Amino acid sequence: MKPLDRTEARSQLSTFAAPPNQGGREPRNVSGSSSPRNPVRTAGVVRLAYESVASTLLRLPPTVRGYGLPIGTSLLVAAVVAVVEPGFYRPANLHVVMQQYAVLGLVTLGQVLVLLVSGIDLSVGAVMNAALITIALMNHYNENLLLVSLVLCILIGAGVGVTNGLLVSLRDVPPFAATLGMTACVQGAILVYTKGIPAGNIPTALRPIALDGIGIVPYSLLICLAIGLVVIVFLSRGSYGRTIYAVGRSAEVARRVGISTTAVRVSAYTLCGVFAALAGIILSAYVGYVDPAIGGTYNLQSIAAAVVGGVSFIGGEGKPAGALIGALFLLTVLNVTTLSSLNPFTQLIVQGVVMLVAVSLFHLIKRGSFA
Amino acid sequence: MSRQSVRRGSWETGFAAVAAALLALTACGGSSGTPGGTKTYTIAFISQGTSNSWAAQLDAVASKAAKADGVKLVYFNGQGDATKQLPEIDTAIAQKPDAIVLVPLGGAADTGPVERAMSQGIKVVLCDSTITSQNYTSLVTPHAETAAVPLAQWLADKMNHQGNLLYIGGLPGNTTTITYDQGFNSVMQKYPSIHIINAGNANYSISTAKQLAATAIASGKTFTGAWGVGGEAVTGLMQALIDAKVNPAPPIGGAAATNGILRLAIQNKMEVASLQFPPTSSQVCIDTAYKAAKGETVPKSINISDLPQYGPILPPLDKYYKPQFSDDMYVGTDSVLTVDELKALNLVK
Amino acid sequence: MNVERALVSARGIYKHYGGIRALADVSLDIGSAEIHALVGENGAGKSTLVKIMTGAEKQDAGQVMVDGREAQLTPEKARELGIGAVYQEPSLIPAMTVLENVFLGWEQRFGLGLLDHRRMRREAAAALDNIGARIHLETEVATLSVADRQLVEIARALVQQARVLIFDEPSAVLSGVELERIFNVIKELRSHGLGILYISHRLAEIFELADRATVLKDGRVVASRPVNELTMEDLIHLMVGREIGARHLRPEAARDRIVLEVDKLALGQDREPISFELHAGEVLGLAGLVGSGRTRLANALGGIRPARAGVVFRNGRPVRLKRPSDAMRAGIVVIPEDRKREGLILGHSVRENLALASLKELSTIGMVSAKAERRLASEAVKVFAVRPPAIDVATGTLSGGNQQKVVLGKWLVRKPSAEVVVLDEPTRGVDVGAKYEIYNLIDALVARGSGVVLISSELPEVIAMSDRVLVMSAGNIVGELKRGELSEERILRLAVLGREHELAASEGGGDAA
Repeated sequence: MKPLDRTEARSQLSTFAAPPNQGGREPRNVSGSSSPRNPVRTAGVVRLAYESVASTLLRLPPTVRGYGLPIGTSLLVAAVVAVVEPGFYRPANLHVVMQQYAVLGLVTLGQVLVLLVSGIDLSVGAVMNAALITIALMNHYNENLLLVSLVLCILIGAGVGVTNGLLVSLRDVPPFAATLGMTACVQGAILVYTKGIPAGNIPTALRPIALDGIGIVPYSLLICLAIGLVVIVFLSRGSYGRTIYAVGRSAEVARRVGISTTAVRVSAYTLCGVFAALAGIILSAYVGYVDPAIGGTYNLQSIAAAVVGGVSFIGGEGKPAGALIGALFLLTVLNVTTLSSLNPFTQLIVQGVVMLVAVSLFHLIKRGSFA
Repeated sequence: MSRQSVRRGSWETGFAAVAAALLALTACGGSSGTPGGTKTYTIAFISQGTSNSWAAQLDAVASKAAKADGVKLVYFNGQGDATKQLPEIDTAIAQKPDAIVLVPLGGAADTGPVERAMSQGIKVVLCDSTITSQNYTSLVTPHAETAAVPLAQWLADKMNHQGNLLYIGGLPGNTTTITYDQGFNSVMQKYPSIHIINAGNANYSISTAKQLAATAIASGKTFTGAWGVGGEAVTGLMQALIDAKVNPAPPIGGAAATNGILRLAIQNKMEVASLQFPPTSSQVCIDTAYKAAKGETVPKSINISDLPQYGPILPPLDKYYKPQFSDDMYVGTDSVLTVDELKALNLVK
Repeated sequence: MNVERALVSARGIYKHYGGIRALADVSLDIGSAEIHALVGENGAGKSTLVKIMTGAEKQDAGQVMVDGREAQLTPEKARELGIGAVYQEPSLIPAMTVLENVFLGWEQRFGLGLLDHRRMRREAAAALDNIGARIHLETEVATLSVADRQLVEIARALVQQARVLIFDEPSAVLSGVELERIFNVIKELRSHGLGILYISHRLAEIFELADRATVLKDGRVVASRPVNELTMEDLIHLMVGREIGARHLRPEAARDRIVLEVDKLALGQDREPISFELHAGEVLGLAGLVGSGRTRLANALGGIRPARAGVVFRNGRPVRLKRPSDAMRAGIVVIPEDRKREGLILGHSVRENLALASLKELSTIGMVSAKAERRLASEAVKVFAVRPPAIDVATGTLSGGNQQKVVLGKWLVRKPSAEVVVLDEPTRGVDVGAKYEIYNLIDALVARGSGVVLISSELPEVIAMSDRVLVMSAGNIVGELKRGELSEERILRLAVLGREHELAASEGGGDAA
């Protein structure tokens, strides 16, 4: 403990008292301009500003850091967006963002549950595809079977989730391999069933879920937020949440207090599959056309959203509320870059850089160290 | 032929194949009496595999064309994956067919096997896309670069050569995307008053295209025209315009002509210009391979888009749209396949 | 031996961990061509001394001298000076080959950073040959036996030109022929002039192997003599006799009600089934060396690793113990040995840890009552004197003793209270104050009528706390001692030598008690 305190004190001292270019971190002279001292000073000032902001943040009480920081950061992002791309706040655009958020939010909620039990689910995209195909084929000739087809979608999602969970917890298959393997199985089943031609159509009766709503708020978003609220409450206040976090942080300790780690893991994967199926239904309703690759990007997007929102791959770390904010952040970045009508390649770079900065800042703040 | 039928797996085609095989047997019996008579040529057809509806239609047309030409078609399934297609090519070569029709999945990867086949005297016809070498017998494909020109020109004219153009891109680095863009840009650079608003790349995904287009539309800009690279981009674009109730919808160019795009356009009174990326082109591939096998000289390159039946699909669209068939049918497939054959492919409503 | 002739010597080493004294004024010399045994009970300070002599830890005071000169050791510096160590669990990388492991971090290079494979191969082969090990250089270490891994580790020390080799209890993981091989290698190394520090608590092998023995007790050297001047009796006598301080003696348990009866519990393939009884209000000590099967028994009782066969009765009724929840239902609680891995979630708050075993009781319709949880946590923190008495701090920030109190609290605040409590090394790594609080807690448990099984490697603790002691050795119960018969020497003799020797000793009238 003691030597640690000393080092901390020293680094604080050097931050405020020593010339900024000390400590072997001489910044490179990038500009190559007139005075060689100039960039050094600039870099030093930037570092000084960064570290003083950071240390101020660190001194905040944990509750403020837990709730205040995400909210504060969101407000900051909102302000930046207002300056960079005011078009973001047009009701029509907010409507579009909400429609898309309902899908990503749902998938992310499921992904968080799986990440919390030290897993990862790469089959959410395949489940979404399966949902679309199920709806399209069952409503090919008439729409009498709409409700049955929706129930079937949910059952498919649950079935994939249960299988994932059992593979991971009983057969010790690494989550990455198990869920990727399930993706291959589901896609293969779709191909066998459709012979590669996913005929059918999205019933018009389904479409209001995603297209209509109260004011500019689509029903799909209400569904997503309602489920999100339930997940948040059950994870923070429910005994189910306690078992999820216990299994994620130490499966051995959890087992020894009588928690069935298998049941907890399977339930997390199952809920993830069900949420993915729901997201697939909503996205089908939103797109309104048979797209057999509808879930394509959602595996990685949901993981990215969760990680940006502070959920860790190690398990047991992070909150669903954080992940929902992460998903919003992700969609905002995508939306703003699209609105900017930059060159698509530049869009990709901007998205990547913003994401990296967000993730590294978040984790620095969370870890509480700025080494 | 029987191998293909098994893969197709449908009862009707299976029965048809058995019947056809019996017919072929009797035919052979007849011809064996006349030594030196017409030889039955064998063509190995290495498909993309039935991983999407375009490829499934391509396969069905190829099979039918082979039957018509009286050649023996041996089917190899590429399973929609370049690495899985490679060993299939090698197996095909080992069977020493007279010709190979290859629907390449990996332009660079397929080069080696193709050159091996050529060195063994097997004629190789590339169907729909090319490989990185010039060492093949013939290439049968639409030229997106030239085929996109009349569509882009139509769109520019419809826009009166001014205003915002909503653009949804394809897949970065993809050969078709690049040639498509070349055709499009060669027209648009003539009209500086057309502002291209690039909403991003849809990577040939309908749902991505719809999300990008919806965002662009929600920005409040008015568009006098729209362009999507590929049928998926145009479909997503149309769905976004319909759901945002943009009325009147701007003219749209760039699609590959499917029955679904025509349906959306007609039902929602939209003007859409499509080029043909027809699965029926496999008929030309098989015919070319048959001619090459017989020793006839065939052109090194056949531009499908130059053939009269594969010209651009421009409004009015009613004469192209077939309401009895499903969205996935490409324009013209019903001119080659019978209704029963289309039904086996899930293409009849 | 004087300092000048020693290869490595420790001089007046002191080391504290938090409030616990690990070493006090320890001096030790390792000479050339000498096998020096370091013996002592668990917790006597052997491992700490090894860590200091290999540079893994820094002493608070005192010096380590190499060739008569003071050395500021770091792991790299120790290696440079020729001090090598062979650990119980060899520090090799399983997925790499023998050759790669031998030269790990010591790779021989040409210029430009290219590896000199030929030279490395030659040197590694020579080193393995030197110790008579027939191990192929390209074998993956994961496929080797523990003994072969130790040989690889010895070879590694040799190519790094070690002059002093420290063996940290190889006999705890090896036996029979394998151990014999290592012994021969050690003797061979001595003949080449190396200095060996051999750590063990198996006394028999000290006499077979060592030239000199140093005995540690409570972090102090109590004797350092040539082995031929020592007898087994002397060694046992020197090792034992620690005080745990004055404690008033608890009145002996009435032993009128059996709360737990274990009938022919089969714990392993070549082990005799285990049977014993536990009475209400009784503390049953379970003594034995590390690896004697005590923890295995605890895990079977807790449903953590079910027994292969046998029956356990609670209050006369047979109970099923297939999983932890069975044990919880049967009123059996096991406080695990490894509290950081098995007892606590260090990232959880104290409150969350305390509530974890009582989630069902604290919840209605799936929701944990925040009020009830805080009440439970506050009560536990007060009863178990957790310091600081805050329930929302991360458990990982507490001291070892207070972490242990949280583990105890987690299990013992549960309602209904457990009638059988198995404590596996409850005071390991715990400061003196917390130790006494845990002893008082055990008194309170038996006072309310629970039966306690106390597993401990600290013999003074077992003797002071137990009404009865079962001694385990090699997976079997080798003896039972009643309160009047308890002495460290008797327990140690049973634990080290097994049943026959004890019988022989008592038949011969040589009872040391």
